[in-house]
Amino acid sequence: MTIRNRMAPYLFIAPFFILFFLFWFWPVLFSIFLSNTDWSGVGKPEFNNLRNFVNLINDSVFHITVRNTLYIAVASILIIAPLALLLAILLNNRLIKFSDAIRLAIFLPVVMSLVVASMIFLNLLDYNAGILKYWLGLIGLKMPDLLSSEKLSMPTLIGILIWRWTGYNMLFFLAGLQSIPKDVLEAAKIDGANNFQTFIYVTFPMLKPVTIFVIVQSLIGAFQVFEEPLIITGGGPAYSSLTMALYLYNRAFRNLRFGYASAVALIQFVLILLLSIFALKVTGAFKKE
Amino acid sequence: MKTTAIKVILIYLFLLILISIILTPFLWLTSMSFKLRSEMFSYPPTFIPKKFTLLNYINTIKDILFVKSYRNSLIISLSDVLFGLIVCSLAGFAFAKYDFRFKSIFFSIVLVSMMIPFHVVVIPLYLEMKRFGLIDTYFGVIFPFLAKAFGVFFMRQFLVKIPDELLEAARIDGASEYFIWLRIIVPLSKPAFGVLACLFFVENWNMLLWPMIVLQSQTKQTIQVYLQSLIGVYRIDYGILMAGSCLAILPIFVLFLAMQKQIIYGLTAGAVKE
Repeated sequence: MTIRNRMAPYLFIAPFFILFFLFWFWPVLFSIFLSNTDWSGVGKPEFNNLRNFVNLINDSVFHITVRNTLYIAVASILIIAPLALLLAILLNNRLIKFSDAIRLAIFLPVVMSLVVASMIFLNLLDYNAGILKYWLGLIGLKMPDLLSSEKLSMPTLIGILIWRWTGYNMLFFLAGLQSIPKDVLEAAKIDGANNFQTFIYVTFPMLKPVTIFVIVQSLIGAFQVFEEPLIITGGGPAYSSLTMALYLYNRAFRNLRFGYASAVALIQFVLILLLSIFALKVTGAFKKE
Repeated sequence: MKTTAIKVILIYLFLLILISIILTPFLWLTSMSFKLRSEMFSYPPTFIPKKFTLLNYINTIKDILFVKSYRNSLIISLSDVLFGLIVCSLAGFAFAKYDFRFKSIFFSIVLVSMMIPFHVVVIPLYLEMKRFGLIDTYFGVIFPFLAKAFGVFFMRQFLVKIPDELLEAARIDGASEYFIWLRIIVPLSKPAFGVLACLFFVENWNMLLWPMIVLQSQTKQTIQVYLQSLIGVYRIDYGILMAGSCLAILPIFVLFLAMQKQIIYGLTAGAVKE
């Protein structure tokens, strides 16, 4: 390759890396620094040598947020992913005109802004006049007060997350299913496998990269759930629907405790990394095929 | 044969119920936007308004703050798309068609950066913006998100397929690298740009957290921030909230309908091969 200008590639990647360094790399470093201080945004930050982390260990509200966030992560993997896979299988097999439309409908929640979606759910789930109450009434059930109940606020939140993300994950599984060569499936049929066996021994193993991707993405996403609890439940009642991300936001921008919030952010980051590595190991991403 | 037919019907039924549940929020929102305040919270709730009205939409369009915030969102989202495409296409081109020292390290950094959750950097970013004097500015909202690792990755995958001979021929004819980028790569990238533009626009349009933190003046808010502010503790103007929300999701909805295939391709293209 004859390139006269040897600097060209460096100049081309420069915009990205300058932006990255300024707005992602440096902030991460600064975040680590901040997490060891007390700071309210004015004046100088005061070093407090890991006191934030010690306080975090004893912070019972923080424990609740960790529990809630893990709750979401687990639900994503055990409910959303399988449901997405199931829908992908259903849509992949029936070669009907409608599969495009159905796929569109299931995916639609993803493009609706979180603000609007949350607002609408606030409305639908309203204890007094929400349509859910009406429907439950039709089949003879009494409407529980979903948003003011400590026990039910989290399941409700998870229900909303299922509504939102199943379609998104379904798309990835669909793409994965469609990339499986037909001859492999036919070979299995010829060898005498029925549909179920074909799925378990042929299809599912071939979906491994997609499955890994979906799981890791879901984990990372679970830790970032912010808008829904902010708008729908405010984290309550009694912190029952408070996620880590919302807790971080409150501590930083409502309580103006930037140091403490940075400590939370750091823990969040570490947890995501650990969980992602764990998920990758468990699903065998590091094994050679 | 009969059992297969029953299976198919059951599947259709299942999907139909599922879709009805999924689409309920959308239909409900639209229905609410055409209702009078008095009917919005009547019980039993009605899907089709007994009294159909355009009043909410009229009030929304008359609301200066709404119009301003809509305009702001358009400015910010379109700028984000424009600058984002430039940054990604330049970097993607470099990774696709050049060999240079530390190339693989740089590319690994791009991939790793996708794993940094926003909440980890949001506080320092806010403080940085304060330092740079970018609080309450459009640039403050756009800049942090221009380093779009996914976009770089996507452009690279796309541009790798362009034949090297094409670029060689241009160089022999005396073209500079920059000229090659601007006059050859960019025009050829149109399909990729289409996909990325959609993804970037949707993601930016729907953002709440960062614009909420950065923008302080009421007149600079984005549409999401404005709608969120309407869900206040005190008197909530449901008319504007409902109609405004419909208008807020409309561009995304239209964009999505028109560019469905591209958006889906863009999202899934990377995941399957890995």
